[in-house]
Amino acid sequence: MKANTKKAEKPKGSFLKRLKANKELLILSMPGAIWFLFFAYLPLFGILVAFKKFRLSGDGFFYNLFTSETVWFDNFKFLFSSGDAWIIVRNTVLYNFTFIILGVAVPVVLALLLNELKNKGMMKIYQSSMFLPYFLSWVVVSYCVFAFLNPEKGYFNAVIQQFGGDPVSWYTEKKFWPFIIIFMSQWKGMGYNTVVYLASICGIDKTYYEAAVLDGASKWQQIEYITLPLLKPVITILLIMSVGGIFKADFGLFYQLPKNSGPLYPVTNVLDTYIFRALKTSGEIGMSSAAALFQSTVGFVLIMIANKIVSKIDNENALF
Amino acid sequence: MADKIMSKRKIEKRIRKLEAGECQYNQIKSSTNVLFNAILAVLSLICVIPFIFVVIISFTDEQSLAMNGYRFIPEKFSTYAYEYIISAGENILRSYGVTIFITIVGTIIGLLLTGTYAYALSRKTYLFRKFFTTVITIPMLFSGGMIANYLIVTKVLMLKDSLWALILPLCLNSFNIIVLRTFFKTSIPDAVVESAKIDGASEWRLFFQIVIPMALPGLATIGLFLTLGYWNDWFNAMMYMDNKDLIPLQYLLIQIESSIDWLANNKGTMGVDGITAAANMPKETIKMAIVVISTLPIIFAYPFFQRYFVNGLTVGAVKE
Amino acid sequence: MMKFKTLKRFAAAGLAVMMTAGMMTGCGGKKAETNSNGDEIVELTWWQIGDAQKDQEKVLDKVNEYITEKIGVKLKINTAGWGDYDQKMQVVINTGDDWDMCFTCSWANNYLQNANKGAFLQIDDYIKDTDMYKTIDARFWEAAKVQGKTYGVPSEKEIGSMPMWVFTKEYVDKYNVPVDEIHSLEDLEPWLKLIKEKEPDVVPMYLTSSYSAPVYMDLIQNPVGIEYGDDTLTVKNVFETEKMRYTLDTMRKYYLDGYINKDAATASDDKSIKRFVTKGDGQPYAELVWGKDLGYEVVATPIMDTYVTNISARGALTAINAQTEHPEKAVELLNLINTDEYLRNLLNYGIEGEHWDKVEVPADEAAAAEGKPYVYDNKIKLNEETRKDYSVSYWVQGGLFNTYVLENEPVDKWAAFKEFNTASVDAPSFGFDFDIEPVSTEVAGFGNVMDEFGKSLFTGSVDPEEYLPKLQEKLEATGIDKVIAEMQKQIDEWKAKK
Repeated sequence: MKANTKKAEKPKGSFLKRLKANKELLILSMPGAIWFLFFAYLPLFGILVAFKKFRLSGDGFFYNLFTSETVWFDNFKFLFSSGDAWIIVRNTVLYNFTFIILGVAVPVVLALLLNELKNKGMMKIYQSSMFLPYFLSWVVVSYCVFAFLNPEKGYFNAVIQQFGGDPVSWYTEKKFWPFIIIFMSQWKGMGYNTVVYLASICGIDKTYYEAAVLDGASKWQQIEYITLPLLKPVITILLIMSVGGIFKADFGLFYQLPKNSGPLYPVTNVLDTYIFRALKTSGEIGMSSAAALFQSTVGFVLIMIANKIVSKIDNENALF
Repeated sequence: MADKIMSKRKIEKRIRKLEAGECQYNQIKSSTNVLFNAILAVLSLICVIPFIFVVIISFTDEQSLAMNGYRFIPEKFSTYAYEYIISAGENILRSYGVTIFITIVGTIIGLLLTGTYAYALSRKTYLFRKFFTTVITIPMLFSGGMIANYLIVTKVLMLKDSLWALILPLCLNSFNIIVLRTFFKTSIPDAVVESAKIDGASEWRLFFQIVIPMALPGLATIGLFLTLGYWNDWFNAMMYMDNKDLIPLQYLLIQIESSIDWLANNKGTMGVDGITAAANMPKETIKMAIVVISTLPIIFAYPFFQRYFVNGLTVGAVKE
Repeated sequence: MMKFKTLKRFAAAGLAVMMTAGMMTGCGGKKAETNSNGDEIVELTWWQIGDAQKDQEKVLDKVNEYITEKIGVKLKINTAGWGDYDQKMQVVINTGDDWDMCFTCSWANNYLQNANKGAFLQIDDYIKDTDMYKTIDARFWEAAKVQGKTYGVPSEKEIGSMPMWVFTKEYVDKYNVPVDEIHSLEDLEPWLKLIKEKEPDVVPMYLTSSYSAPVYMDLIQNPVGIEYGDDTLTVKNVFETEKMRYTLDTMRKYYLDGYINKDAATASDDKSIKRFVTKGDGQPYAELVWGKDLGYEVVATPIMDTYVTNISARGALTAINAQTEHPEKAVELLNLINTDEYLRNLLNYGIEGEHWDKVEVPADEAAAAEGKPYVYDNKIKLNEETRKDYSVSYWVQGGLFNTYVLENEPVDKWAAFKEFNTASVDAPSFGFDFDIEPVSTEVAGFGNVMDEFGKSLFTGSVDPEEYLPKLQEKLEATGIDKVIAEMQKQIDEWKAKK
């Protein structure tokens, strides 16, 4: 930062110059845009399947798509027809809401902690270790967790019994599972999520801190007035984007970790597991397409709302 | 904070002292450091232990595993799993090759495409900013589905059984673009951009020579995400690779895992046939060994990215 | 900073080169080949379930050597693993990809659903004059019919489902358990009690999460179906039948008495656990398979009569793509596989001399098997070293009855299977297919309910007094009454047409 800061300049150059700059930006956007055309927009015709009863009567997908009977919203009915629809939606939304909040709070705190450590070497080790859970699939993780929670031979029950308590039937007692699930989801994701915030902190101009210290600011004040405000853009954008996923869930977390145990369903059944179990026997691709469309639409609406709210408060950091 | 005017001389003096490393100021108290270390150490341990567990299991004798279940201290050690893998040799080596190739090529391409697109979006003078942001927001939520994507990739782009079917679908995604855009916006001061513009720089030069060096933490983050995405991908291999010589490592592992899982779950319907099929599956220990060898390389690659977003270790952060 | 510019140029150039190369792999010219008779060789693609075998190409080359000459067909086999097969086939079939034949059955790449969707070719006209139509048991062909039309070639193996109690021989011998007299769930009780008292570290009745209590019903659309022996064809909810209520109460009693392992509802088979009895789905000589898997001898006894249902008779079929370009050749190939001894064993076990060798049948065994059908002049011994390079599931590619038996199996194994099949009784609902379309929404709800309560109820882990009503309530909420009414309507129509 130069001591003699310049005021913001009037738009420089002629119209032609601005157009030239835009032309260059346009070219820079082209490769990505073409990719999106092929990999994101062209396949969108697949959404039509949600409204059809897909049958094969001739050669070629499109022929079959057009000759299949249009059933409009019939394929969506199964999402609401179960008596449990309320519980499932409740589980999905509550868990995701918690994940969204924790998914920002925990990594931010960790990033701050890591950043303040005196020994940089230790910091690297901690950060690398926290990354490891990301690499294990939920299947493998569920085996490891089982070693602890096994009602007969698991470590937890062994310790409990040592202290004179009664062994807990972990896989049939549902009251512990919300905590287990929330804990495990953070365990798996915190290393990964911390990276973004660490990188952001790294990009903060050091001279801000130096000036603050010269003014006699404490660590807390530095964090409150420099770090967090400068992290705001990243935090905001990540929050908005995660809102879009509120109806989606990490399948492995809710299906494999609890070992698909029936008595736990009231707290582990979410939209994705419900859909999976429902469509296991029917193979009706219209229904699975409808389910995905439903999840996407809700997420889209929510993102738009979240973005609108954010842009009212702080236009800089909105999505658009 | 920026309003407070300090005499230039005072600031430069402090800066020189800092660089000389004389000042211990702006560090946290030792006691706080200990506390932070303790918290992080516990978290790191929780993250590392399951992985160590997996390593231990991979060195356990298969029989003792069947007898005693998963244990931290196995009854009997055995390197059988790794011997088996080495003898199965070519498959694993080939998969390794495939994975490394698509990861490196994919990350480079991904960084180029993501970087150019995100840069264009970060420029406030860009006329089409809103349009191109919308272009990437919609696919974040809406997808044409498995079948539509399959059709585009195999029939329109003709990429069936080609390595490009593993590389291209993953090189871009909306999340990366938006995060990188945020990095560009926050880590590049307007003053720098404006002064470069005054000097007559084109958008290309701005991007490649000025922005990229300043946004290294952000690029490293996205690069890391891309690398991890490629390394762990198996879905695209399942969809598009019928040629068994071209499948990546993760798919090899997931195939075994899902086969074992599926056979275990469907024992009821398959009866005796299920048992004979299951008998041919690689054993538990081999599964764990594959997890180990598929994760180790990425763990070694990780420090390469880490140094870009760890404070104090940043390479070439430019200050004006 | 020239680095970045050159890097960019390099990347672009590299991209261009690699893309061209990549595209070229996608193109392949197809020229018409002919065999020695001058017939044009047709290439057929066959999708099979199971993992790819190391020597697959080798064996396939030998197969093609044979069949290009014999019938002018060249075969290409694609495989998808157990966990992937359903998803992969869904994509392949629904996108109209190129394929000619595929494996299908009642529990993978569902035969009924796909036939109803129009994925499979109707082959009645093609098969009626073939040898395999005459040799394969008529009931398999009947089961392969959907709405009166045939859509697949069945692999001939066991036709009925035979749930059995499987006892560890050690304890049977020790306590002289009269295994042959034990059939129903209730018969087990005195022996479970005995084991519990005398053998503390043996689980009397070891159950896993895939356990389902003995059900005396054809569960056409789980849990709705028709009871065995019910000729009135009354559709019922299995949980409303007296038999099931009694069974669940018995299971609960056993659980509370400590006969069943506490984690039954979530357990997967832990071979290290010593057990007295478990339940298994049997077939002739299944004891040999179970024994080998567990590492100790077992004896088994059937729980009920063996019934033939559509589900049990559709254990393995090969279907032909409705859009195939070579229907006659595909049928010809399948016919050849199911009748030609050389080809069948080549596909099944691998190359003679490399993966297996012929061995002689012991004289007394051969004499005893004299005159029985499906007895061959030799058995085979698998080569210990190379067998893992080619080890396919035998029933995926064709019937079992024209394969050689393994060294340690009786030479009249298939004769026994045939006997078993003949003795199996048709369930009253055999031949009836339930069209779920009118009630697909309701049926979708069943999956979750059954998964939630089924395992715990079946294993006795929860009290049926409390949970059975809950299960019923949920089923009713999902609309089970509508499904029952619909199924009754369809089956009455079907009965009238017979």
